[in-house]
Amino acid sequence: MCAVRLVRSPCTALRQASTKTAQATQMAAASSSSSHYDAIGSSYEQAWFYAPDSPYNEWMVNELLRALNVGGSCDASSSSAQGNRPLSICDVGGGTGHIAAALSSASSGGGVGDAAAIANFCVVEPSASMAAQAEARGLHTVVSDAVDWASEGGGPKYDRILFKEVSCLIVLDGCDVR
Amino acid sequence: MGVMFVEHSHFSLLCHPSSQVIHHIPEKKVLGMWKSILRLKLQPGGKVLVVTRPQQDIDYPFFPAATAQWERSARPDGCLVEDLRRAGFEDVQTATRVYPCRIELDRWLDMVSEAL
Repeated sequence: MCAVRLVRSPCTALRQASTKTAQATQMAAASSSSSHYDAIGSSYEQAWFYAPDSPYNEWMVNELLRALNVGGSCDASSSSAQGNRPLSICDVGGGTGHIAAALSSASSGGGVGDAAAIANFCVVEPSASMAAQAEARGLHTVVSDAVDWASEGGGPKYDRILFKEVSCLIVLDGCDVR
Repeated sequence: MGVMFVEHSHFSLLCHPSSQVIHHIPEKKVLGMWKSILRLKLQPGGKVLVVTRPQQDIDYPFFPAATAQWERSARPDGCLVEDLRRAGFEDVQTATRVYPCRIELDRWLDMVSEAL
């Protein structure tokens, strides 16, 4: 299933792995503070899984467009059927909004087949600093964890709700959950 | 790098569940969250998509301590599907996509230290 390949000679890899093991374990344990994601907000997009311009994210955006069946253009003539009218989307745990921005951009550029256009995008994100970055991208944002957000009635309902590689949406007992 | 898509339907809703969010959360809260989303946040005919990395049957190049940590924290992938069904979603579907990649060792170790 996984095809990760480490680019380093085996001997070097083993030496470095042994010296970093303790560090890695300690850092993983320490990452559960409630301010963790605020603290990493400025470097979030340097992380391998979240770098906006990486090949992985380009691949992911295309997979998401297919899975959500969105990415079509905003064409009034195609708004009669539920399947291809412009849709509202919420990205829960959307971080800095780079995925939402990429999906929106793909939608504005026109889509394939019966893919629907995106009418609007909302990012729900517990980290205020990350939400601010999403807002700077022109996205509507809500600063909240998933449980609190889900339990609030009276707000808008969405045609698509996305949970993408979310590891810290829910705050319990004052600790972020990874 | 394996990435799991779980697709779930309710009145033509589509939903993909994620285990990363869920596996440390008390079951009551998880179910309540999904039920609330279904009732308060999703349009009739809407779809939910959850994307996560598989928790089981992985072949990441972990060192022993990381393997042990991963196994301690892993929750069976099927639990998420079951949670969604119990919350009222129907026609839950899953699919796994594979992304082959090469990662420099230092960066990989940093990723492991941050639980990927």
